[in-house]
Amino acid sequence: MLERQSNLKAWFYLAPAMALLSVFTFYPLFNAFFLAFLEDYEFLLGTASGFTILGNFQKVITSPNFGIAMKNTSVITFISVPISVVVALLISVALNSIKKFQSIFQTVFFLPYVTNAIAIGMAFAFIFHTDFGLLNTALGWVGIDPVNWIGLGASWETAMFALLVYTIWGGLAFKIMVFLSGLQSIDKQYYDAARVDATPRRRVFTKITVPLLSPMIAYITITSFIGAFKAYRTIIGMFGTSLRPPGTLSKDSLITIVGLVYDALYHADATGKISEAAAASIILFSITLTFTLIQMQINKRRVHF
Amino acid sequence: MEIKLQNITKIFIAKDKSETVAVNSLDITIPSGKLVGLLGPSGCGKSTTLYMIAGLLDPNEGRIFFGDEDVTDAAPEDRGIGLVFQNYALYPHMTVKQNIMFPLENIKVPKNEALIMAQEMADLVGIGELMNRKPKQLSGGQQQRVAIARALVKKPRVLLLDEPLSNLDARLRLQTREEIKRIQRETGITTIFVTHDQEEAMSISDEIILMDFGVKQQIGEPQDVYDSPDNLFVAKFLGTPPINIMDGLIKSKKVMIADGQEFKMKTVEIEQEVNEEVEQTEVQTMEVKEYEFNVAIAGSKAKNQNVVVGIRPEGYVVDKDGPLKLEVYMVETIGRDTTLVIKDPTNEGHTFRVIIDASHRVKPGQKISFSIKRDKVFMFNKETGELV
Repeated sequence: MLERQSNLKAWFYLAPAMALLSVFTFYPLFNAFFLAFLEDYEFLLGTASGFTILGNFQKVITSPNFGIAMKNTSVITFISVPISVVVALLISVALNSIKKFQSIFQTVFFLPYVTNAIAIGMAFAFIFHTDFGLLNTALGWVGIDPVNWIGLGASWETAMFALLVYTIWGGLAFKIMVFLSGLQSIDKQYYDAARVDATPRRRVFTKITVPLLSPMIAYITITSFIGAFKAYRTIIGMFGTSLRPPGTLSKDSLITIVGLVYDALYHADATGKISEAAAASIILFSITLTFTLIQMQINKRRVHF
Repeated sequence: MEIKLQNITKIFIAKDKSETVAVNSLDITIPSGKLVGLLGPSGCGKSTTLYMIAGLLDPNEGRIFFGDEDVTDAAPEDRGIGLVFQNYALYPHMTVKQNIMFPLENIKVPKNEALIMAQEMADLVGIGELMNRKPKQLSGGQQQRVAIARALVKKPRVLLLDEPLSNLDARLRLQTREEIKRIQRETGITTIFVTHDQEEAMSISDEIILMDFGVKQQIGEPQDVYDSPDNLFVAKFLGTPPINIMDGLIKSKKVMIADGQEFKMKTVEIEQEVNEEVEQTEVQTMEVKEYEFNVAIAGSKAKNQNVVVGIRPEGYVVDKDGPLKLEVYMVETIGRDTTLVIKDPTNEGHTFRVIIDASHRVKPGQKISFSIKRDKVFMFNKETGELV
C-alpha cells in the first residue's frame, strides 16, 4: 500500500517533465523515424504518396554534399576529440598542482563554456582574419607571410585548421571542469604513497592519475565524440550559413551531417525534403550509436573500478 | 637504525592565520630494531610526528636523525622509509603483484628480480597466493598485508605504520597485530606505529611513547609505563577499564578521599602513617589497617596538599576487614574475572570499575569491603598532574 502511494507520487512529480519531454523530445524522435520512410511527403499539405524503405536514405547518400559532409564530420571528430581530451587533461593536472590563484585560473578556463558559441566563432573569425588577425600578426613577428586562413577564396585545409582550433578550444572548458573535479576527488594518500616510493613524475601521471581518472576520461570521450558528430554551430559561428569561406566552391564547403539536415530543412516546402532531413538525422544517429557502443566495449576493458 | 628527534616543533597555520601547535619541542629516541608504539588521543600530534619522520611534513623547528645521518631536509624518497597508510592507499587499478612491485619499478629493479622480491615479500606477509587479485577483492586484513609488503619490498631502513589496525574489525585486529609483531621480528626492521588504542600499543610494542597536546608524556616499556606513570594523563590513558580517579587530600601524613565536597576524618579510607625515620630516606611506610605496603614518594612533596588519587581497577582486593566499603551497582561477568561497577562515593553520578576474582559471587546492591594494593595506588598533584 505504502509502496503504491509513493509510486503514484513519483509519477505525479515527474508529470510536468514527462509532458514537456513527450511533446518536444519523444514525439519528434519517433516522428523522425516515421517521416524518414514516407515517400514524396508534402510538409505543407501533410500528404504522402506512400512508404519507401530506402528511398530517402538513397537521396541523402547520393547527394553531392553527403561525401563532403562525411569527410568533414570525420575530420572534425577524429582530430578535435583526441587532441582536446589530451590537452584538457594536461591543463587540469597543471591547474590542480598549482596552489596560488587556482580558483582564478579555473574561472578563466571555464569562461568559454558560458560564452555564446556564435560570439566565440566571430572572435575566432577575427583572430584568423588575413589582414588584421591576431594570428597573422603574430606570424609576422617571426617573419612568416600572412596566410589566407578563412578569407576570400581560402583553401579547405586552412579553413578546417581554423575550425579545428576553434572547436578544440571551445570544448576545453567543460572537459577541464570535469577532469578537475575528478582529480580533486582522488585520495591524496595515493600521491603521498607514490612520493615515499620515489615515483618519477611521469609515472605518477601515467600509472596513477590517468587510471584513477579513467571513468572521467571515458565519460568525456564518449560525450565529446557525440558532440563532435553533431558539429554545426561552430561552423555557423565562423563561416555563417554558407558554411564555407567566401568565394570558394561548394566542394570546399565545411558542411557536416547536421549541416545536411539543416540544408534539407531550409527547403522544407519542397516535396520530400523533410523526409530527407529525417533520413540524414537517422544516419547520424546510427553512426553515433555505433561509435558509442564500440567505445563502451573498449571502456569495459580499459576503465578501472 | 636508531631514530632521534631533537626538539621537533610543528605548527599548522589555518586559513584565518590562527596557529595550532601540533607537536611541541619533541625529543625522543627510538632504539634500533624495535617495535615502537606512538600512542595518544586523537589530535595529540602522533600522526604529525610520524609524517615528519616520513618526510611528508616538514618540522618548523628541530632536527631528525636516522642513525648519525641528519635527514631533516631529505625528501621522503631519499630517507629509505616504508610507509603504510591508515587506509592502505593501495592502487585500486593494480593487482596485488603490481602494487608490491611498484616501488621496485620506480627504482628500475630488473623485472625478474622484482618479481622474485615481490613474491618473497608477499609470502612473508602471508598473501603469496593472492598476487593476481585486485585490492577490492581482498578483505581489510589482506589489504593491510599488501600495504605492508609494498612498504617493505624495497628494504627500507624504517617502517612506519599509521593507525595500522583502525580499519579492521575486532577479531582481525587481534590477528593482524600478532602478524605485525611477527613480521617486525622476522625482518628486524625499526618500526614505528601510530595508534590511539592503548591496548593495541601495549600488546605489541617493545616501547611506547605517550603523547598529549603535542608534548611527550612518557616513554618506556609498556609494563614500566603502566606500573609507574609519570603523570595523571599517562595513568588515565593506559589500562582498561581505566584507573579510578578520586579527589584526595594529604593531611597530617594521611591520604584521605573526598566525601562529596567535604573532607571528613571519619570517611578516611586510606590512612598513611609516616615513619619519621624512613621519611628521611624518602621511603615511607603506609599502612591501611592490616594492609601494609611500601611507598616511594619524595617526602617533601608529600606535605599537606590536595591530590588526585588514582587506583587501578585490579588494585582492589575483596577483604572482609578492608578499609573501603563500597556498594555494588552492577556486575559485569566475562568468565575469567568479574568487573563490578560501583557508584563513586566521592563524586555523585559517576561510576568506576573494579576487577575482582571470578570466585567471588557478587550481586548488585551488595556492600563489599576492599583493601587496596599499594602498588596500584598513585597520587598526583592536583594542579600539574605530576606524580607526588
